[in-house]
Order: sequence, then C-alpha cells, then structure tokens
Amino acid sequence: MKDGRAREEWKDSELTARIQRGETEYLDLLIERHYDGIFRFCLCKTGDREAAYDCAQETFLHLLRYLEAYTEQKKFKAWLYRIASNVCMDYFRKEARAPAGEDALETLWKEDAGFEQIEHRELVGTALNQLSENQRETIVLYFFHGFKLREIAEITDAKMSTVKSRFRQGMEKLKAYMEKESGERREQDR
Amino acid sequence: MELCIDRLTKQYGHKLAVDRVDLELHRGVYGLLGANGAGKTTLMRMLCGILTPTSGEIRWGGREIGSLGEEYRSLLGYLPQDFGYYPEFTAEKFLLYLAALKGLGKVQAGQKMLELLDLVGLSEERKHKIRTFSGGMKQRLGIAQALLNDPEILILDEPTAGLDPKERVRFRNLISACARDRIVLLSTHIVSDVEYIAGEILIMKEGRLIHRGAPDAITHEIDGKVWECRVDPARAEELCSQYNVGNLKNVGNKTILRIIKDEKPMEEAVPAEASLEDLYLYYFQEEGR
Amino acid sequence: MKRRKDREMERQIRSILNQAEMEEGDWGRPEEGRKQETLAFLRAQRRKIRLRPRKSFAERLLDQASWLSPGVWLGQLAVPVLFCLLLGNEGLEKRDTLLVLSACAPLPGVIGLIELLRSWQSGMWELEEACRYHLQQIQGMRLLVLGIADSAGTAVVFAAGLLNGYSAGMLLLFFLFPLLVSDSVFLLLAGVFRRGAKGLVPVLAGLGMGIFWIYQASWLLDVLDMLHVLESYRSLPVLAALLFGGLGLLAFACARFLNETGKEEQRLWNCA
Repeated sequence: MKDGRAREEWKDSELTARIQRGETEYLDLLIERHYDGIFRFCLCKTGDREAAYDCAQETFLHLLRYLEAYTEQKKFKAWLYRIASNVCMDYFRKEARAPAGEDALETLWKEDAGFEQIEHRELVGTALNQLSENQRETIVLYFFHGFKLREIAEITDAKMSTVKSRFRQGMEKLKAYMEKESGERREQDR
Repeated sequence: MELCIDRLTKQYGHKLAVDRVDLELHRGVYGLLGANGAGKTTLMRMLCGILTPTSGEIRWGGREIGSLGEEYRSLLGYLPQDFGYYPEFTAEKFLLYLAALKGLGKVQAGQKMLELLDLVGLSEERKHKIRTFSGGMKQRLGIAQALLNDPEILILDEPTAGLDPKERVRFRNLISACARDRIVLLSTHIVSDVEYIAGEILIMKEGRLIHRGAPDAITHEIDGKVWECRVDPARAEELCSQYNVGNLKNVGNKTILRIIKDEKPMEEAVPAEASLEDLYLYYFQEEGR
Repeated sequence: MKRRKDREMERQIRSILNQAEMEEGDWGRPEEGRKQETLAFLRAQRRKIRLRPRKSFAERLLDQASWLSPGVWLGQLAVPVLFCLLLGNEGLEKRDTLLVLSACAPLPGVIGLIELLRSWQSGMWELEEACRYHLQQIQGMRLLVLGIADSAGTAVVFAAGLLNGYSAGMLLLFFLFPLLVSDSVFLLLAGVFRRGAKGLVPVLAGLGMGIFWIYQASWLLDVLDMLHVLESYRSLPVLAALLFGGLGLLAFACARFLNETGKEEQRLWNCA
C-alpha cells in the first residue's frame, strides 16, 4: 500500500482491499467519494430530488450490507452504480411509477441554471430528451459519470452489443438533433 | 436475528445430558443457572458446534448452524469452562493467534488485541507468559479472546469460576458493557453473577430447562415458600440438617435462618421475600445437601 | 466529405456533453446539509456492521505455518542435515548407513506428531474448535505445511544420497518407505496418543518404530545381499508398489486423522 500519498488519493481498489481486510473505517471515505455521483445518477433516473436522496441513501446502505460479497473482479464504481440502478428500479416498482419522463431532465436542468447557462443547458437538455430512456442512461453514464461501455453493460445488466447499439443510436439521434438545430439557427440568423 | 434451539437433545448411552431443550434467544443477557451436571456445558458446546446433537436443531436466522458452518462460527465468541494455551504464549501472542483463526487480518488483529487487553485491564501484562497469570487474569484474557471477532453470540461457560468477589464484580461490569447488540449466554452456579445483569434467567436441571423468566418475575414461582426464623444457635444446627437453609446469620444470641420449604417449617417462622438464590436452592436442594 | 462532417458533428456533441458535465453548476448536486445528514447516518450504520472477510487458502496456510512452534522448524531443518551427514560419512559402511537411515526415518514423523497433538495436549482444542477456521481446518493446514516441509527434506536427502552413490531404489527401500509408513502409523494412532501423556508418547512411539525398522532393514539387507543386488536393486514394479502403497497409506491416514479431529464428541463425556 502506497502510504506516502494522502488517503483521498487512494484508488477505489486500494480502499476496498483495506475494507475487506476489516479496516471498515475506510468505508466513510469511499461513500463520501461517490455520494455526489450516485445522487446525480439517481436524480437522472427518478427525476425527483427527494426520491434521489432516498435512493442514494438506500444505495449506500446496500453497499454496507453487501460489501463482503464484492470481489475485485468487478470494478467497484460499476458495481456501486449497478446497485443504484437496482435501487431506483425498486423505487419505481414501489411507487408504481414509470422512470423519469422525457421532460424531467430538461426541467431539472433549467431549475438550477443561471441565466447565462440556460441557452447551453437548454440545448443539451432538449438534445438528451430526444433519446429513449435507455439511450439517455447510456449517454449520461458515458459522458457524465465516465464509465466505459463495458461497465455500462454491467450497471444496466445489458449485453455489450445492446449497450453499443444504444450508444450509437443515442449519438445518431443527438447528431440529427444538432444538425436540425444548427440548420434552424442559420435560418434565423438570415 | 434470533438463535432458535429446537427440542435439542444430547444422549450418551443411557444418560440424557440435554433433554429436549426449547429456547429462542434474542439480543440481551441470559443467565443459565444450574448445578454441576445439569447439562449447561453440553448445551453450550452444542451451541458452539463442538458437539453434535443427538436430535433437535439449532438455527440462526432460520438456518441450521451445521449448514452455516464457518458463517456461524465467525459470529460466535466462546469462553470454555477450562481453557488451555500453548506454553510459550504470551497474552499478546495468544490473542493474535486466535484472531488469525477467527479470520481477522493482521492489522485489525493488532488493533483489536490492544483494545481488548485495555478493556480487560491486561495491557501492562501483554508481553508476559500466560503461565505466570493468576486465575482472574486468565479469565479476563479468556473474555478478551471471546470478543476478538466482535461476536453477535457470546457464550461464556462458568466464566467467574475461581474468581474472588472483586474480580467477579469487575467481570459482571465487563459483560454488561459488552452485552449491547449481542446475545450473551452466561452459565454459572453463582446466582449473584447473573442476578443483576441478566435480562432473563434460565434454570437447567438434569438436562432439562425447568424454568425461565426475568430475574424479578421468576422468583414468583416460590412466593410463600421462603421463611425466616429466629432460633437458638443449638437448635439452628439441628434445623440446618433438617431443612433447606439458604442463609444462616448470627445476631446477638440468636440465629436467623432462611428456610426454603413449601409449607411453614415451624410456628415462629415468618414469610420472607423470595430471591433468586432461594429459587436456585429450591430447585437444587438435593444437590445442595 | 460526409464522413468528415459526421466525425466533426460527433466531436461537437462530445464537446457539448463534456462541457455540460463540467458546467453543471448546482444541477445534480445534493444540498450540502442533506448530504452531511446522510453521510452521518451512513457513518453510524457503518459502525454497526460486522465485516467478516474471508481469508484465502494461501493466507491461511501461511498463517498456520507462521504459528508452528520454532522447535518444529528447527527439527525440520536439523533432520535432513543429519541424514545428509550420515549419507556423506565415508567412515561408515553402506550397510550400516542404510540401517541407521531406516532407524532414523521416523524422526520427521515424531516431530510432526508432537506438533499435531499440541492442540489437545495444551487444552487449546476447545477454543480452536469454536473459531471460524476450526480445529479440523487448522490440523489440515498443519498437515499440509508439515507435508511440504517433509517433502522438501526428503528431496534433499535423496539428492545427498544420489550424490554419494546410493541408488534411488535403496533410498526408497531404506528411507522413504519407512518414513511414509511411520508417518501413517503415527496419524492412525493419533487418537490414542491424544489421551496419553504429554510429549513422551510420540517419542516412545518413534523409538518403537525406529527399532522395528532396524530389524526390518537388517532382514532386507540380508536378502538383498543374498540376491547380490544390494547396491543396485532396481525392480521397478516392486519399488513402484512400495512408493504408491506408502503414499496411499499416508493419504488414508491423513484423511482418517482429519475425520477423527472433527468428531471430538467421541471422547467427550461431560455432564456439567
């Protein structure tokens, strides 16, 4: 273990190895590190801030309960987001709700944006809303959470080919939307 | 999670060491009272998986402990009635060795060892060989090893045997402090060991669980069966051989006897409030004589 | 041209999305108060969990090896050295060397047996039996460690013997086979030894086996001498039978020993 670096610089794999040797105090660091990301992910999935708080907390409670079952063959972050995904699905089942609708993301984005950011945000928000829920989830996990496609397949419990297809289709839809938008803007400028 | 003991029986030849014991244990301290040969140690050994029952089952969270195996043993802490140690072991080595067997990593084992030696007051003696320890120190070390893996089930077999009163009090306080968030089953034939710390008393006789209840409620069983009488010392001696006498105290030129009997033993006897010790003597009067 | 445009568009999309991720501002960020509340709650929950990670087989093996008594390691080192000196001693006749070799073959087994009986003889067995990695596992690990050490010692002895002109057949007949059989006998009788006196019983057993092997070796030497094959006995079927027979017996004895270790109640009679 590279003790010369600060604990905050230790990789997830180093922390989980220590935790699994019984040094459970490092769980606090791991939770703090991933809390914001998990919250944002739950927010994207549920479209509701209160639900996102609940789902994020539940995700980490699951982590505490099932950490013994975690093996280093899976990347920790992907494993954690998989838990979050399942927790959100359980939330929908319990609430008898559908996953966040098309407008949810756009609405959420606009709520928190400053005036100067609205235009940009609008573009991204409405662009993402062109996608299906699965495509949007894939794009969000890829760009906003930094996951590789293989990891996204683990998180969403889908085949690699399915994820690649969702990503490709998502990017094509975004491309089509961007082309249309830039075409319309050129028209307006004239 | 609860520990369920379902019609547990252990038979050796014709002898029933444990006879159809039924119990459900939840978080808290249980005092298992019984004379020598009542079956307490056999019961505890079965709970620890050291002995296989002849019939019946022990279940943890609904699953039989034999099938759980290592998973069950990993949440167990056990202090046998008599335990040994490798001759070259110091207190530190003893705990580190058992910590390794209980699955603790080296770093965690080191931390736990220091923490527990401090808890039981043996920090100064950690590098001393166990063979130099007194009985009380050895028992404290025994408790420390039982707590190494932060067990959910703590089984202590006659942990205060051989300890002086001061050490017994210290031990009781230690158990009370550790009893939060776990099941503690403590066997003894010294009533005061459990009277103040146990949430429930279990009385075992000839392999069977004959009575159970909270310490203040369990004594209702013998309400009206405990008597006090003031007699001459000469007569006191005669009465001691005739009745089940719980206590004998000389006050001035008289002797006060505390007698446990279903009916009033003599004219001058007055009813007294039953205590747990009286209850123990009531059940074990044959062994007591 | 179209492909270049497509790639350019894709780069633009990526840059927009990446920039959006950086510029998110408060979007998607939890309220600090709520976040700290949740973290505090999770920290409290974390303190309640009892994590019981599993150690790998190798970790447990090394653990047990580190806890074997120093005497065992000294013995494991000293015995092969003794044999090597014996085999290299030019002052002794080959016949006498082989006799002494047979007589001393039970030595590693005695050392191992003393170590295996420690749990019972010291009274630690009950504490060990209630541990996560219980007595049967502990004894299994000890057997394995001792077996590896004995195998290494045997390899050294064979090497020394071959270098000093002894054939592999001779070494098998007068060292390895007695070693395997002695170890097996000790393990099969371990249950009896457990109840016996501390330490002395294995030593006496070793002496007994040593005397047996001297007689056996003496008889064998006479037979081989008579057949004029003392220096070069090479009957492969016989040697193979002895080797695999010895190994088979040892494997059986180990399995039986471990099985009996798990049946402690056979000897427990406790009415308390």
